Amino acid sequence: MIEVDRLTKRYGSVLAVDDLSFRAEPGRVTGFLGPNGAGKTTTLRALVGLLHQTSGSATVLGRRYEDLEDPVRTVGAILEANAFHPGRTGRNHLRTLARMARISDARVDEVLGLVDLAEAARRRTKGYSLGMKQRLSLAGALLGDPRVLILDEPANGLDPHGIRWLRDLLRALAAEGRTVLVSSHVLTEVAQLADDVVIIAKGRSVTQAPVPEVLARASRATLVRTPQREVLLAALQGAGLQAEPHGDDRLAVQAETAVVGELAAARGVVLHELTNESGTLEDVFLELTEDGRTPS
Amino acid sequence: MTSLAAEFLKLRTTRVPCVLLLVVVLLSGTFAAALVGSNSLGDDRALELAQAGAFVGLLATVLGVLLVTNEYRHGTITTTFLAEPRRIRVLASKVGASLLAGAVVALATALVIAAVALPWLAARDEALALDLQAAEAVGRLVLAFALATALGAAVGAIVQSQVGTIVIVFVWFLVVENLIGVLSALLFGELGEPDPVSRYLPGSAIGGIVGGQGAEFVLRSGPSILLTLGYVAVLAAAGAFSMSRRDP
Repeated sequence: MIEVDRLTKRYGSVLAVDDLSFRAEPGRVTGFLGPNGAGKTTTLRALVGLLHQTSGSATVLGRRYEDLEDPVRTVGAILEANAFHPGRTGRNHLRTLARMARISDARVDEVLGLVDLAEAARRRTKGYSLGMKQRLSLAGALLGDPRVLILDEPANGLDPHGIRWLRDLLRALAAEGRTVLVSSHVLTEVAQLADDVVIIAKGRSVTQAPVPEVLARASRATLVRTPQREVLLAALQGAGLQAEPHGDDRLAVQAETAVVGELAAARGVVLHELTNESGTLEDVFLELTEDGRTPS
Repeated sequence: MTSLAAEFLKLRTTRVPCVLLLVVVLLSGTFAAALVGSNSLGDDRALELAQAGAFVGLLATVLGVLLVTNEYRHGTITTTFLAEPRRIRVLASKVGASLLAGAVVALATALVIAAVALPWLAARDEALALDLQAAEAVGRLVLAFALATALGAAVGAIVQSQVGTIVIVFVWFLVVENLIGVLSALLFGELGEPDPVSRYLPGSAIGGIVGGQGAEFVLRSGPSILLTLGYVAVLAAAGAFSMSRRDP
């Protein structure tokens, strides 16, 4: 389990993280979202002991990172996508990590196979694509078969196949009971991957809840296309429903599809299309992280 | 021990340290050849041949600098701190690895100098015996290189920027120490004569460990070793402080 409790980090006069608290539970993938500069990376760095926070705590399995007995076998982390010596081969990069954590070279080859880098393993990393570097970082994070994964933008630079592969891998790791915390700005990705989300803006938490609950908050609308738009609009408004023209030949109605369909049938209005436009994580995200909005 | 092995692996798996070793060995061999060829060896031939290696001791310091600053330059310090969050231990391994790496470079240097000089001297009927004196010369070179490399690692930990550290090291050893020597000679004596200040500076202290020609300008070997150890200890403590305080 990951626990951030009243974490605050101040750089001079700038509050990068402001009294932030949240948890990431084992067996679940927690998406950590926020606009650029919201304090995501700062929070993740505090979790792995890479920065001195101003106040508050960030712990993994109830301990500060520097107090973990065997950090590499407890926590796997990606903080920077390109933290390699360009002249060192991918395999040798992992071997240096493995040597520090007393992990065998056999395990190095195993994780290289797992991230599909076995072929490129003996090439210098300066020739790697961004996607290959991301997979090498992930191999490093998985080296110690850790119970907790802390990944900062792990999908950056991956192609669509890579993204699907990463999603399946992280879901499988969470299903084994591991705690997975993933920051991202690709919201559609997170919507498909995460069980829970924590959304922050300007260093503060704006919402944290299971994904279905967050999606339920998004405003829903029914879109209806009809050749008798004016007739239906008058009928809907007459029934006390909020409706307005949408595009050239549609209406957007704040009501369930069934309500709109039944009303149209009762008035004998012809419908060409009736769809439920459900809210997306993106809608919620944009709404919550808008400038000037007071965080809750 | 595993952390030392990891540091050595980091050195072995990149090119620059290997190139640096090659340069040190080639330069030392060339200096040794020049000494033998020009018949300029004095009384203590073993020590003066070791001095041919000590001339390039600055490159050993650069090796120590690389061992620390490479990680900051390429961001691998982050993964290193993930594997060993106690940063003082990270620096301790790096200083330890520097001592060993410096010793290895010194031994390689001694081998090349011996390979160049010994057959040549023997051919001229001036054979150099591999006696206790020769062993002492090698021992002094090993100590000088080990401490010079550790000094580089310590300064690297303080400064962290690779270019910055290398500039500081070169300017200090090649310019500042000489300037201080000149000023001190002007103030306290005569130019070209030994002065009372510069022998206590780190570069002279490292040079004093080996000794050889110009020994009147530096401290004797024993005090030089202690003084250099002191410099390494103080700089390593400052490096540990800097590494612990400044987040990567």
